[in-house]
Amino acid sequence: MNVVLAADAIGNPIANIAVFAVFAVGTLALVYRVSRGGTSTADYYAADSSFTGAQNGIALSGDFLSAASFLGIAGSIAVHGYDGFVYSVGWVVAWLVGLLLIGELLRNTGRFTMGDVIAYRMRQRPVRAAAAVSTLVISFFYMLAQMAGAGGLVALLLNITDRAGQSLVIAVVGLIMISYVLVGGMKGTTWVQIVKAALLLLCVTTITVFLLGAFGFNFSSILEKAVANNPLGDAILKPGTQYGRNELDFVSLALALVLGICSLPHVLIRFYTVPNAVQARRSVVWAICTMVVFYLCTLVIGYGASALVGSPAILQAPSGENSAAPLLALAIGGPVLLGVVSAVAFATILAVVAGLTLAASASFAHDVYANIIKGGRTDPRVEVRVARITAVVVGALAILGGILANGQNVAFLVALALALAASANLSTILYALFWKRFNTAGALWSLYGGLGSCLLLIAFSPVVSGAPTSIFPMVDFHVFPLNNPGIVSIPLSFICGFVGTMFGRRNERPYAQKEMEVRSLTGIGANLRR
Amino acid sequence: MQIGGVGRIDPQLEHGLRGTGPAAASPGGEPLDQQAPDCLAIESSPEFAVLRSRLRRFVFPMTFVFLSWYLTFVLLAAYAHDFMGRQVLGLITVGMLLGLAQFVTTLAITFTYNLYAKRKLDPQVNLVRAQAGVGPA
Repeated sequence: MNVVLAADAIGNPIANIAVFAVFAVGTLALVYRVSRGGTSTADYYAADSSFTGAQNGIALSGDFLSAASFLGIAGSIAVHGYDGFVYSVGWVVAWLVGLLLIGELLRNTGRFTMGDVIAYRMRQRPVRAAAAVSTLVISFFYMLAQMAGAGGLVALLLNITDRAGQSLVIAVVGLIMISYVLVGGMKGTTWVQIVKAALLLLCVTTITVFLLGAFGFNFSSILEKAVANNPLGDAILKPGTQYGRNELDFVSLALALVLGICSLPHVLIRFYTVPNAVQARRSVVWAICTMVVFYLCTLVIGYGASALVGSPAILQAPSGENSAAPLLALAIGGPVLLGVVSAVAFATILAVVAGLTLAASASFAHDVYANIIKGGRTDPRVEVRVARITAVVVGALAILGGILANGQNVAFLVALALALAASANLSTILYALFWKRFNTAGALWSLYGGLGSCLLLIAFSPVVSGAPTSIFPMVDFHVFPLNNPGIVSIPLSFICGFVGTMFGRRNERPYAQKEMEVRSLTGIGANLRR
Repeated sequence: MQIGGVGRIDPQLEHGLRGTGPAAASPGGEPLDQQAPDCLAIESSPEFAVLRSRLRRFVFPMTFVFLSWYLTFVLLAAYAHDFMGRQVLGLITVGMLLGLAQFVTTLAITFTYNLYAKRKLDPQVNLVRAQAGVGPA
């Protein structure tokens, strides 16, 4: 099969823009239709808890089938082979944390934010403030990663290579995303995720089936061709090509991945969009099935791209590794399939950033404004207005950050956000749900301890200084040897939470503790919907 | 046995948890639960103890199992390159099969838990709820 590579862009940029425009207009219309201009907090933050488990499950997986994981992992497998696959395994296994430990209990206990659960039996102000800080920091890093990725994608698909042009597109993407959130709230955002995830799944399964068919349904012969077309040879069949030099760093990354995914704020608030714990469980089951199918396909697509396009051609394309899946789409389906894949990749960024913006604005409006500033006595309409204003501010920051971070290493930013989530949120949520004695001091220690240690270790890691790939390659103040701090900061936050609890008051609010236990397990008291 | 009753109001709860607690008012202002169940009584009931231990007896060991199995896989991928690179089915390597096995075990744990929850947890939840005078979830 012969691949025709345009000089600097893939396929026809006009066609790519057209497909994307159709998607953007279509989803905006959908968002407008599903939102009936609801002004209640339950509607804006949690879509009135009206989604079914299946719908929310698809949307959950949509949150994770981001451009980074779709383009990034396929590209990583195409170029580095097996190491990319190991990375993808973590994205699937991580959901078991959400299924077994977090999803149902969180659904029963909270209403709109992570702070609802953590602060349930604690002193409200300090704990909600800490939860909001953690939510905002993590969302910001994760959002930065998505927006920075948008720049590279634009270069690849629309043939816009100058920074000003790319910045303009990032701004347009950001504006569409803000309008999803403003118009549709959680309901609109969820529907966009559902549409996007369904399209993406359709795309990858089509490509996969076609690829397997072309090789007589023999995966081994795809591998054979991939080995022949990759300068690394059969090293792509075993570990070590990408993470080989720093084994411990890889273990640290894997740990952050498996523990961080279900502690991300925009994933946590997804559990509130279903009416009860049974539906929350069902959503994770759906998400896991979807993710398994998706990453199985990605494995085939990655090696398939290596086989049909060849890794040298992939690396020469404008955005390197990330272009593997689009190039493969072009090779097997022509410009039409490429246009669809590109539009879906764009849509992915849009939808994920919308979810993050919603999580951040919910946390600010509900935790900070309504519960800290107003002491829980607000008019819901005012609260929603505050949330909408926050969404605009957060969206503007994301656009600005995305423009500044354009060209940064996206994978690093994602890994960083995951390490932060695993360090600050996971320990605190688990303690709050399962440990009777956990108290305000413990919650503050584990949240700030995990967040602080993680940020500090990153600041003194080779990511920031002292290596050719650092943010500041010219200076060297790194003292921590690993790129990913997870292996240190995650256990540390658990220790912090434990020590803090021991120093804090015993039996702080015995009734609230019992009430939370009953509510988390049975849902008694959680019935928002009458 | 009827263990439901008039709820006790924790003074701190009254202040802090407006908006999250059972005593919370809906946006319209009317209370959501007409009669807040007595959580102290529910918490000390044997049925609730059964529910709690059934949940914990399943999820804690299972979490331990899947995390150690995943870490084994990651450590092998990080340190045992040659073992993972051994080709077993055509060019398909041990590492790929172990990775696929992670997918398989994840699905297996998911469906096992789903079944367990349907058979052992949900009925118990409904039992506790019924005794507290609250309908099924």
